[in-house]
Amino acid sequence: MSDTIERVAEPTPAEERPALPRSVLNRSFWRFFWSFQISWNYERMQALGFCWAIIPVLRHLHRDDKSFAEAMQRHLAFFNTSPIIGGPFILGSTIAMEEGGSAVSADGMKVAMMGPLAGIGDALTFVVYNSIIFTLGANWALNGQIIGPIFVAIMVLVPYYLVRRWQFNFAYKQGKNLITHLASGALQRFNEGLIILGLIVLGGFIPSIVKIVTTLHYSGKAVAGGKQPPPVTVQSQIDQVLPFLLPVLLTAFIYFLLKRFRLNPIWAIVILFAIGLTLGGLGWFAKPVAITH
Amino acid sequence: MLLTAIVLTLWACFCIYDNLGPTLIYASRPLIAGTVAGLIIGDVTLGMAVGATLELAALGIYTYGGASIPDYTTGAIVGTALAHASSGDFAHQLTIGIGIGIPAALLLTALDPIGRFLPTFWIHRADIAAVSGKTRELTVLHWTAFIPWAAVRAVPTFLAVYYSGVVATVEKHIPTWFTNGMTLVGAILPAVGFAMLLTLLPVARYWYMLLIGYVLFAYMNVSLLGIALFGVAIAIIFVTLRPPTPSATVPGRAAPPNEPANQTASQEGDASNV
Repeated sequence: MSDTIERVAEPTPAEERPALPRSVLNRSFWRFFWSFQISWNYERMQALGFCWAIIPVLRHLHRDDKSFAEAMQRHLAFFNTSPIIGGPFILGSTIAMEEGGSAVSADGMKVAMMGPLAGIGDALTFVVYNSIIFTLGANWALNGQIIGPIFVAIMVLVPYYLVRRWQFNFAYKQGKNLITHLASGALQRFNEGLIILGLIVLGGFIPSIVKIVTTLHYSGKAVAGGKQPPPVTVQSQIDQVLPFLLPVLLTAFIYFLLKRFRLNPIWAIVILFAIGLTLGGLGWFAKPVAITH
Repeated sequence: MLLTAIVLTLWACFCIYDNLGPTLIYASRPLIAGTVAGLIIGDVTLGMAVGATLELAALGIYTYGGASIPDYTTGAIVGTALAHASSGDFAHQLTIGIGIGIPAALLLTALDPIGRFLPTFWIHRADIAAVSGKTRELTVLHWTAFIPWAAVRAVPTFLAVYYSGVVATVEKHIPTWFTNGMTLVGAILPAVGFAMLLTLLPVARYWYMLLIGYVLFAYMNVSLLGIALFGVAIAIIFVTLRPPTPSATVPGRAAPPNEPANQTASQEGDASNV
């Protein structure tokens, strides 16, 4: 065996070692599953979590201690992606590439895929899926129905596990063919569909969940005869223009602040907190008493 | 009180563990965190109501690439415990819970960066361990790096719950205007979450999809679940009939993962609308 650095960096050649057994793959997946982000930090984010998850595979592939240590150091490089859709995918395909003996393509693939998959993964899990199940669950819970939190817990427990397990297995099997698969139009169509679902749902959820009505009223014009008519509530006038106008306007206002002025969401919360406390405290606006649905 | 404080502190630690690790039941979401906190103190309905209110306020508020967000999780736990410590009817307790939970969530935003920063020291130790091939040390480092994450949530939770008796004395002086104001705050805060979600979606391209949902709810009185199911059908029809546009990109977090969500996302959204 040669002593050059290049030689040491290579794993044990494929023909000299047995194929990656199922148990090693499973160990890697479960390490990922139970602890992927627990060592998250500003400097290298999910690096230690990824490295720890792939160690069983590296140990199996590298009989030589020196090349094993080098492989571990490679996987301590900066890494950050979506833990639900994205992380298992990249872990599975990285294992396939490490097994194929191409450390360079494994590292390159990690860097190339973590950004795009983070975008897709966060959009699918947080923006579309979570916003639907958590709004439904919270709405039931507010009506005193315990099914709300139970529904959410089950809708997380089962699909979140399955989607991670499936991705990991799929990505490992596909290995290097993965990127061509991702580039196909099917995935893009799927994303478009989810975006549309998200927008339709938001269109209905915004007026139903954001709750504000005005309690302001004015006295009607005195008609001939001097009799004072009953006061006219401003809210009834607004409802004639457009139902749920105030919740829609309020959300549009915050959206405008976030989008155009790139306002930090924390400040948006502080602003709404101040608005709500002032207008509610003065008694001009209130949470509607009767809930329509 | 000591036992309750300890159990709730452990629950707060589990919530952040579940978020970073297995995501079994998404315990870090206020709906789950609050409901279980209610179970622990023996008032599930209260915990569920506080959690659900904060959940709606936290919709769309997620950590995108490591940005600090209001800690509604701990807010829901502390809010539930302190609401329970107060007297009065359910509506009054709920107001106390929201009135404490939301400010607590905002204040705890300041502690989150500490929990995210301290494990940096661990990663440098991990570098050294990796060079010498010490896998056992790497394992220990990986799991102990969770301690700062847990600590910045455990300490405030324990202190707030343990000294929750203070609420009973303070609440006698809470004026009516504050109660009314907090009720409205709880009802309008979901606007932030929905607005956040909208910034992550290509609104300029598909704004008319919002109208479908709006009309279903406002004019046709369809329930939330009904709107979601209708949306699934429309989405399937849409992608089946429409050829995919080559310029279409998925919104959300783009390559540099430590950018605040709305910034990168809106840039992406703009790009996809060209």
